[in-house]
Amino acid sequence: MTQVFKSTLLGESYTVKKHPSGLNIYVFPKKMTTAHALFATDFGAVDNALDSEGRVLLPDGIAHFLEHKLFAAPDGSDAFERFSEFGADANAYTSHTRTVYLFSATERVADSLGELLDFVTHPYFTKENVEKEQGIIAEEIRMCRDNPYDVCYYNMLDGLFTHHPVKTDICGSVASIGKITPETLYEAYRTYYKLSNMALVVCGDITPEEVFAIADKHLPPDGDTAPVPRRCVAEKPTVHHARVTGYGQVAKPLFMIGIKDTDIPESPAARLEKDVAMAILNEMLFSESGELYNALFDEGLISPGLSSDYALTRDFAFCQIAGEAADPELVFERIMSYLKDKQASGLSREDFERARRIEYAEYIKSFDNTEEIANTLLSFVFEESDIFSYADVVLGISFEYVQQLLREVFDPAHVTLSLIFPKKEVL
Amino acid sequence: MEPLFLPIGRYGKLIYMSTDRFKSELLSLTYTVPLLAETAQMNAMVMALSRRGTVSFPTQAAINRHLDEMYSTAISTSNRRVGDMQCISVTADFLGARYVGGGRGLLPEVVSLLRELIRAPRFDDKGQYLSAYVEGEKQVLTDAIRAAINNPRGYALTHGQRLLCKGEPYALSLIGEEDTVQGLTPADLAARHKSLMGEVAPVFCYVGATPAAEVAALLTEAFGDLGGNAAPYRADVHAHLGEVRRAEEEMPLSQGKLVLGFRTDIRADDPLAPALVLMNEIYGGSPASKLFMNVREKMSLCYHCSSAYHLYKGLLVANCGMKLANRTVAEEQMLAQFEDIKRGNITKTELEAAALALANSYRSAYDSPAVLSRFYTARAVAGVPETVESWREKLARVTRNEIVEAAGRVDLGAVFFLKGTEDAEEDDE
Repeated sequence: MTQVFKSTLLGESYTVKKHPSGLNIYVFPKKMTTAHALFATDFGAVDNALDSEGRVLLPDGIAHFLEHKLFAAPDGSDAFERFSEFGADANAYTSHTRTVYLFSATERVADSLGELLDFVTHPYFTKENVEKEQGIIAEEIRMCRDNPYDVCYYNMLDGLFTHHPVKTDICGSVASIGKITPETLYEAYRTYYKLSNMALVVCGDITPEEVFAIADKHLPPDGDTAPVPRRCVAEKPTVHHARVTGYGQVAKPLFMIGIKDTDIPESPAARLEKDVAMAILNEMLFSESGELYNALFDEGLISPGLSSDYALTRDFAFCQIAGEAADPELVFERIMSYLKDKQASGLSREDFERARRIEYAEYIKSFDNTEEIANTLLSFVFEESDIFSYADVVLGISFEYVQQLLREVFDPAHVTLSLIFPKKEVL
Repeated sequence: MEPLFLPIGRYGKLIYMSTDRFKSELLSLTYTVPLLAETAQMNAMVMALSRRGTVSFPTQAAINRHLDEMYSTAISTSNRRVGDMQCISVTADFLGARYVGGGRGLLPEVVSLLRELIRAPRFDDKGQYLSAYVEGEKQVLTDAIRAAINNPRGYALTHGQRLLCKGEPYALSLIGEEDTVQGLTPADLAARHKSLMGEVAPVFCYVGATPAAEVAALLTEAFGDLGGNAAPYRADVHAHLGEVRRAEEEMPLSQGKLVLGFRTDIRADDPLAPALVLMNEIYGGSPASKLFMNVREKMSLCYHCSSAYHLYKGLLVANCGMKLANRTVAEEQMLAQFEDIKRGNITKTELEAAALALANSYRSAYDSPAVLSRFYTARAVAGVPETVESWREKLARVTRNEIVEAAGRVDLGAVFFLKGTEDAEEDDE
């Protein structure tokens, strides 16, 4: 049973099929030279605390460790070698909420797609290969620990959340990955790598029929479709720490303001609407053409660039505003005071229309690249929404809803300020 | 998608690529000047000041609002080396005509804005940059120079490269040094702007669906009278002479960064240049490379270990991040992998994987206007008449013997180590 989604605005379409194994397959044909494929599981760092029975057992960093180790094969080779035989560029990444295996290729796409399906569905973990990987990932952890932007980000999450595992480093710690064994990896794999908990997304010069045929050849004819355990962590709207200060190898202090949002809509449609409205609101409040950014920049209070982002998932959400400033406390006060003034005076309709136009343009531009299309489509898939509905949602957002979010989300009691100051011993 | 080359006025040049495969279009403008200590920083400042305000858009906020109105057109600037030259570019990425009501779309407005940014910066009544803007940019530049330490890997690479090219223009910072920032004056910068306008031939690159003649006409009208006899392209490409240079610095980091710098006398237009590209790919250019497969995967010494080839300068720079205890063995192993290539120990699989990866990478260029623009602009600057396709074909014809021959002309010139002083074996949480 296949379903085709079309967009008249973009002149694009994609086809969805539920494979008998339980895997949902999404094919977005695009006449580009490069094809991009993602094979992903709805399993990320936040799921690290559960085994198949829903018990808290798995060590921090296991999703990321599994991502590294899944490339290993029983003959001692790894999947990278086989992708390179096809001329494909393969990689993988783990986020808070998902693990993604991917490749891009300009030729022999079918061979690479077969390899992608094969290696992800054939785990091979041994004591030796796990120990070897512990050394590599320990270096990755050290590298991240030396990255002041990463440290500032995780400190912000630690300030925002009291219990939620989103506050845990995606890589785990050197100590926690030391507890990972072949058995824990197999346990995590059995629990979260059921094909019904996964998705395959392909974008490129390939037809849905070709992809479905490759899937038939490389996937089992049926599979376990029981839902995977999800940890439900109750979080109060208020933050864990209002201020987290650290020191790092930086020339100028970094700041990251986190705003915790516990009002997460139940339905995917309402979540998408909120996500879009928050994107418009962030554009209105923090963009480089806005009054706040230009006032702070013209007064020399911040370095160029004030980033803002809103993350919304099934069970956690937060907004972040980040930059660099000689006096980050002063910048924080100015931003909080600006938000308070805006909450009292209201937003400008002209700014709202401008921000909506930007969202619309950025959305269209994002369909120029198979990698970007595949990644965005995957996000919509795991959020149970249609990528083509985005433009309509942008046009349907009301000014009043955005005003309402400004009042609700930017509550001072939900705010954490994470600061990284230069280390004392400067070179 | 072969490019056309069209003149813009007497000195300028347009690299034009016709395509309707993208929903957006790209237009870039590049100025190329010799990389010199006296002017590199001022060139960077002139480019930055163009984003501060123009005659028609007097503030940065006004420029940004105008960009928003142009369906979120993005303007980015870049400052890079090609050989011993400094290339400063401004690039506009904008929505194609069919998504903004058709007709000629946004291109005329984009050309007009680029003209403003380049030719009509906001000056005071003495014909100088506003001192408030200059002071603001001085602070931004100072911060950027200091911020090099925020990225330890980038810091180590920069310092390894500087050690390797000590005394040459390539060792200069593209944004200059902190001690010269305060001496910059609005008058000097205005003079620098004038000289860039009068003496440098701009290179434009367009990727989109507008006919070539129309693009050329718009650019000629806006920029046709600019430019002069540009300084000739220069790239001092030579083998490393003398002892291997070694330097070490300390930083409060938990991981050390090791950089190995190699040099060759093979120039970008040398018949052996494609073989060096292959050699780098085999050495440390991909997850199938010797550095990745051996130093990382087999020996577990590091998380990142890779190499990059600077085609126009004849440098090959490898780097790795590791704990202090592994520093010596990492250097030995990285060098051992290199010696392996020199001795011809390249498996059929390694050779084929490298060739396929490069073929894939250059075919992918057709999917990215930004990559196409960088590829053709650099070749126009260096005077290397190569298309993506002809380059790809040359890479495909490279033999194992050529790789070994090319590797024989590459020698270690510098070793830089950024030592982490917070290195520890343990870690509890």
